[in-house]
Amino acid sequence: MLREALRYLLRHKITVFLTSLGIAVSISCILSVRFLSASVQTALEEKLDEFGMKTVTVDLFRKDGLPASFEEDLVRKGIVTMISSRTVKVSQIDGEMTAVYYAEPSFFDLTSLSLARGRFFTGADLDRKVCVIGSGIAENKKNVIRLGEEIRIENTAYEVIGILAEDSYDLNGVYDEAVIVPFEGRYPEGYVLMLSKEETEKSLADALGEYLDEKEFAIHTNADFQSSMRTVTDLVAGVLEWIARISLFVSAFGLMSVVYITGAARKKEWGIRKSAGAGKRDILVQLLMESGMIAAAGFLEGTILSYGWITVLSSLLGLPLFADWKELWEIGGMTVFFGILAGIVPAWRAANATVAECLEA
Amino acid sequence: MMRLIGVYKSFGGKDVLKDVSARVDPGDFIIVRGKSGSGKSTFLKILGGFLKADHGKILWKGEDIAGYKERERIVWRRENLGFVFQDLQLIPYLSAKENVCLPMVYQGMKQKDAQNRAERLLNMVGCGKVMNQDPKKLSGGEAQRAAIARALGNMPGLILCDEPTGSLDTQNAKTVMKLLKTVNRYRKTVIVVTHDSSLEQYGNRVWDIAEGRLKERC
Ligand SMILES: Nc1ncnc2c1ncn2[C@@H]1O[C@H](COP(=O)(O)OP(=O)(O)OP(=O)(O)O)[C@@H](O)[C@H]1O
Ligand SMILES: [Mg+2]
Repeated sequence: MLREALRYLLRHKITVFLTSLGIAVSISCILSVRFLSASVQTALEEKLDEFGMKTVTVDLFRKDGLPASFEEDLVRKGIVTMISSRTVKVSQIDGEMTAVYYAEPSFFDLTSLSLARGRFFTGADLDRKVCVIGSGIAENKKNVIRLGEEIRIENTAYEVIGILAEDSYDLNGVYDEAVIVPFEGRYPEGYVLMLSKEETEKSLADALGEYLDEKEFAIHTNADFQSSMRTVTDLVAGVLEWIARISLFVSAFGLMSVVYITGAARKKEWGIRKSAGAGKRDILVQLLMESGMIAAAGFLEGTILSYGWITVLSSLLGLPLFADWKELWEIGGMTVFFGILAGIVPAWRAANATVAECLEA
Repeated sequence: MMRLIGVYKSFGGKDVLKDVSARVDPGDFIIVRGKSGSGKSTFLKILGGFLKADHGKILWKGEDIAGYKERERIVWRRENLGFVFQDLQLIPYLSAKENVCLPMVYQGMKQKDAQNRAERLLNMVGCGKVMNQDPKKLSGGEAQRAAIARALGNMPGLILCDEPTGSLDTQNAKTVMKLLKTVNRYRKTVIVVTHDSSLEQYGNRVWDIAEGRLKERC
């Protein structure tokens, strides 16, 4: 019977193709939504990683258990790097106050800041008075500051060894109007901790655990931010996917009407089959198989189609080609299920027509 | 083998069959004749259980098949009945051989056995050469002979033919009737409905249907 159903469909390729096209489009929509949301997610996470995904903030509920130098200890142990900032008056720069960042050399490894000219400072520069300046500082309204020149921060001279590229930013913000100098042994009030490259939240927690009880501190990472971001993208993708699923459902109705019409047009065939001894179930099963197979064909077309455009899209947009092909089974199963569902009414009608009325057709 | 007792059938107040009683014996070859619209097809459909009579009994080996449920009727049909239609009634997307396989497959025969038997039947009716062809590539005579082969597929005891030669030329009509005669020699009962008087010679009995009544000619 499967063979006969298949044979019928192969003889009516154009009908099958046109009918399955609606399903194919819906399938493409579902797959594309999935692909896009997965890709956007991945791309977003990559971007976050890029600009200081590793930034952590620590809430301390008890400070008296800590040695005054605990931050320095953490830095020395290589678990974190720190960056702190304050705004001061810098000569050579017109009247405004300027943000000065105090940073460990390892800070540069963790951010995506890039240089227009010069270099970042390293461990060897820690005792020297050097600085890296933002592009807006280098060309401010009052002066143009070149590599090797000095700027004065609170009466101390710092040699400019690097100038950042325009629009350099990380999670702390834009660095165009900033000056970055090596950490000087003492941290001003606010600071940001960044986990060192190989370290995890866990090692920071362990290090803090040496001084404090587990309940006396809390560590927040970008994962929090990321997960709320994910909630939003998941929501959008979920809504889109439901729209696509509804369109699949609607195209199942298209399939139903086609199976209904062709089923009615084949009355004679049902008459022949019944007079040859076919029961209701034989005819029911054959039509259900046919509509299920048309849906399956639509699923295949849709998958091939969307595989094509997903590949093109991902290379055009530079998104990673990500699709969970395992989920295809679920979507495929759902499509065939819809197809069979769509066949029920027409099949039922064909199966229950009497031979007499079939033969009169 | 089969008896009709007081069968009535009307469509929307118009009586098509009135008090039809008849008796069919094993090995009969009956020609049923009547004008167009006289109720020949209706009569045949009632015999085959495709149409319910308003009234009356249809006994098959003593059992009243008119009272059968749908399910029982299908089983009865699978075991006992072969049906040949007037116009070419092969399923267009199946080959001649697959068409012949249908009743055997519905009977539950294995695909392989069904095919073997279909091949033998098609050879027997002289369609051996075209058995893998599509119905539309068959000539009218070949198609009708294939249809007869299909009717023989389930080895029925009763073969009902509605105008089997209706769309054939004289030569092909002759071949088909001779084929049915051959089938009849295997003690299969054949009932042929026709308006064509020249077919009467093939039957051992002739019935006339006129004004809703059936009369046997002596
Ligand atoms: N399903 C039906 N509904 C209403 N009237 C019907 C139905 N089937 C047959 N009839 C009527 O019953 C009468 C007999 O029809 P039937 O088909 O049995 O004639 P027939 O002898 O086979 O004619 P023909 O030689 O043209 O095939 C006709 O008048 C026809 O109009
Ligand atoms: Mg007729």
